[in-house]
Amino acid sequence: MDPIVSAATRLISQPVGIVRLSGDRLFPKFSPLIVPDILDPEHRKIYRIRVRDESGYIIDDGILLFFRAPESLTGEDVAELQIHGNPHSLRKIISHAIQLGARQALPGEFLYRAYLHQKISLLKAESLNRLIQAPSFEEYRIHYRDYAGEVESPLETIRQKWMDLIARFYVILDHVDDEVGSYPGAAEISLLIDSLMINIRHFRKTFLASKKRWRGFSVLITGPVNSGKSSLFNKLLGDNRAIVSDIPGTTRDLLEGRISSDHGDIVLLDSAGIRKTGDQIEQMGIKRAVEESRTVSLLVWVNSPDNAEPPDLLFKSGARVPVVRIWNKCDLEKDLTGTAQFEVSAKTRKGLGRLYRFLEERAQDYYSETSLGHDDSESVLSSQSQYQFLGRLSRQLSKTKSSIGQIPWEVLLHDLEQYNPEMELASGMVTHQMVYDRVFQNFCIGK
Amino acid sequence: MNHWDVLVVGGGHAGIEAASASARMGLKTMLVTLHLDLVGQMSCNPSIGGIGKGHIVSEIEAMGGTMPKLADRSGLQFKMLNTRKGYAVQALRVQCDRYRYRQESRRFLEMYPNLFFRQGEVVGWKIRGQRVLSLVLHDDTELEATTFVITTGTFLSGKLHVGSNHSEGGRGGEKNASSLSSRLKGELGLSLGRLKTGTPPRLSGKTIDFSKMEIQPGDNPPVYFSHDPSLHHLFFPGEQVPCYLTSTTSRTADIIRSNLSRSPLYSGKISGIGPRYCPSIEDKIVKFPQRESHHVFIEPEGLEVDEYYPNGISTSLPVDVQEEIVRSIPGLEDAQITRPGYAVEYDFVFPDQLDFSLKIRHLDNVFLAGQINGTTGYEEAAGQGLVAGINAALLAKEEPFWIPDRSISYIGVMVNDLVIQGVDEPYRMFTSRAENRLLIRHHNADDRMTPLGRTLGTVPDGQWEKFERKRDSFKKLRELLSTQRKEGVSLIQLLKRPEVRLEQFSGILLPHVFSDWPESWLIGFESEVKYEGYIRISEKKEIDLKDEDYEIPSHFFEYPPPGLSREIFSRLCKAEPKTFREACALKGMTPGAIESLRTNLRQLKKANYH
Repeated sequence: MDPIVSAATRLISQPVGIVRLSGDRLFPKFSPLIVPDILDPEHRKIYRIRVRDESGYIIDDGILLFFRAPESLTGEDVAELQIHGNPHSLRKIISHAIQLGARQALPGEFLYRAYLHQKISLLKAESLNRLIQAPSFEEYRIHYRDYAGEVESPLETIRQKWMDLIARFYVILDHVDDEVGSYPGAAEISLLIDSLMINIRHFRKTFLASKKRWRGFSVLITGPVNSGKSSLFNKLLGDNRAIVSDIPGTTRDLLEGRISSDHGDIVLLDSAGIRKTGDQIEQMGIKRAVEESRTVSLLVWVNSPDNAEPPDLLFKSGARVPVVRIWNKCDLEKDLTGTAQFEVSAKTRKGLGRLYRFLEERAQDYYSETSLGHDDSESVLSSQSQYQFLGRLSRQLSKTKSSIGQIPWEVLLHDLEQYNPEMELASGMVTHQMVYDRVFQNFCIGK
Repeated sequence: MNHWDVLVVGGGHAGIEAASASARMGLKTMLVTLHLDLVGQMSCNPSIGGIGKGHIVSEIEAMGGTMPKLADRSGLQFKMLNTRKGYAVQALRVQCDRYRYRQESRRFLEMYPNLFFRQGEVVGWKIRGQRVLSLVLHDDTELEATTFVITTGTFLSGKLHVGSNHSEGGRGGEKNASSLSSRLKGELGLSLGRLKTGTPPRLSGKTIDFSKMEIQPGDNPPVYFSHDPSLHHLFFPGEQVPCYLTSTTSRTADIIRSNLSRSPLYSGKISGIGPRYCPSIEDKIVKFPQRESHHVFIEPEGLEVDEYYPNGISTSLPVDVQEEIVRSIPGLEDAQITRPGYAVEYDFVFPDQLDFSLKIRHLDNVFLAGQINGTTGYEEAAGQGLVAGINAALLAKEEPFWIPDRSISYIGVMVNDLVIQGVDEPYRMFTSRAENRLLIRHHNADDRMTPLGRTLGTVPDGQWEKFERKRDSFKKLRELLSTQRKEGVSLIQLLKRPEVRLEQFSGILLPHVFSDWPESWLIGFESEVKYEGYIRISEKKEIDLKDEDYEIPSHFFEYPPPGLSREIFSRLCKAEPKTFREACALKGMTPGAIESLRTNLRQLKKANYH
């Protein structure tokens, strides 16, 4: 394949810059890049070198690492120049390489070549990408496990069953129907489809749960202005100061306090008072609160005497988050709305204990629900696109199952086979050979 | 005097197809074979066609080939398989009279005025650079030719095994080609592997108790491979000959298990790799111990002989064990073995050394076809023979090759699989191998392949005229069905529904429209419409244009080029596309027409260089 070149490090000023080349027989083609003349570098050897630009001027010094095909990152010859990380000199080196016959690599092209040369599976390549991009260490850890192959990816499980299903279709296609024997028929195919769909449902569920888990059980304390939200917020946090968590939460533009309860964090969020206003800054605060209200686990709407408005303003957009109505300042007056579930007084602490226990219970529900069926040894789908792909697959499987007996087998198979490319992309090769392996292992076909 | 355009080595199914194709294309062709009386010999089971294989044979028929005619002319029983499943997996199988098949092969080939025979063993060749100039026979005769097709089957260093006995041989009772293998390796630089295959013992008919078996009759009326109705009759008076079904018992399994050590397959004496499909009975018992029994089909070998072929018990166990096995099968308790079963191991050439025309890559003018390329089955061999024969002839005429397309034919799937994936076990065709199987069916083989065959010169006038008439009739019926409506839906739309049959319309339409259509036309038309319905337009596989394009010169449409139907030609004339791709995009361009057009334009392009 044609040689490609790229900077492996970001083109910003930093101590070290790395330029990589990959292609068939890189040397002596790219020898002019370096001094001294190295026409045939040894495999896995490090050379002390200096680099030249297009005009022949020596512009930097560093080291050259060389890996001979096929024992390299991409399976082709790979050369890595480690020099100083000045973006200008790096660019000069790259354009010299281009002048010598290389091409600027497209994003991800090195990994793609590794895939083409079967050094890495697509699934691994995807995990590698995610691993690098992970925003938190927990996320990183999930993807590292996939990459390192420590747990079987859910997609691998699906792929194996998928191939079993296709294999059975092959047997039906290739065996003569008037020869009676133990060949798969409608019943067995239906069972396999059912089993696959159960797996898919499970993996989609655990994915959603894991998404929720990382966000934590969050409670937005909001309500009309001056209803005493902040005091409530502070008192709830203060009373439980002993277990207030040190872990900084994800940055929200709301005041956040984490309580580390037995079951998991309770994240309290204090919002601006919700009201119609012309003040721009206040509007921004309200907007943020409204946005947040859509994604929290629980909304606590705080009313008080003089501030008894219902949460309608907040729910114009039709949010579906559960709401709990609190009547604060009950020491001054009892609940006027008649709708509050809790009557409290942040000042006198009346009802706070009961409120807190309520939050704890909700947190417990939340965390036990999101850890349903999840144990650390089981892996989870790693992306929204995998989640969506499995959803589509599931719908097709259902359609196929209900068409058995009405539509010819080969047409049913054809519809399923349309998913092979995506299956391959998501989880690894699905080839005729692999399916035939299953066919012959499990069925005695032919005379 | 001793110079030929095309020289074919081997008179088996691949050789027959290659030689006849070359002869049809008008080239001076020579067929060299070890045993002239055994041209067309079937090595194991006496049938042509079946799942996957039947598709290849129907494609050979569409291109004017030989095997389907031989099958029809020697058929004892005709049966369309999988009629309870969809049209795309239905395939025709013909049980043949082994002797008659051989006779007909010889008779058929002799009819070509430009096809000649020679009995002899090829022991060497003369090469200059990359070009083979001539082949040398064991009696020192030298045969010069422009191009060569080698189809040596299982004879390359073939070794036969029965129990602990083994002997050199390519087939029971026939000697092998011993020196060729090492010369292919050494001098032609080819890489060889070793495969094995087996055959069951044959049984004497009068010792078989058919009353204990289930009778398996043919279709009534019979379905034939040929398009030519003059071949649509049995070659003998009376009814089709039935087959019979019985099965092995647990006793059979016990006998085999206790004798495994005496099986050359299991004692490691045979090194080649066997087919996972059609394994020996030893393989079956060992791999599937939980199965109570395996089917055994008793197939007649010929009208004039009282010998039967028990399909399903291929073996290389010693003869005494074979006898015990046979006797453990219901109906065969007193059966006498006429010829023992045996295994044969043989050399083959890894087909990834060939290009898509089946020419050896690093040589100029040598093609390989058949079991020598690692396939198993007569039909697979014949399909390759057709490709190699046509391309050898094209090369001799200095015209560009025909590369069969895997989205258009099973032959294409096979050649593509062989060349790209190579072979690590004997390759056998299955319906499941073709990803485009919904579009490449038994009943539309002519649509896909006949125009191409016409362009190449392998389809004679009679066949072409019949094909055009069929297309015209289909077009007329289609137009009629598109205009007639029932409850607001056109009849053609109704026909797309799975449960609707064409016969249901005969009340609505004037009866004479398709009342005289043969059954194959009815099925062909209906399946064409239904499968259009099944395949959503967006998913319909585009014919692979292979990144190629050709200019269409203005004079191209002055005269209809061979292979394009009148209808398509007039459509092209009206649209006047400037390039091949433009032409392909036109409405109504069938895959067959595209192939034919592509070939015509390539030939034109090549001609323009000279």
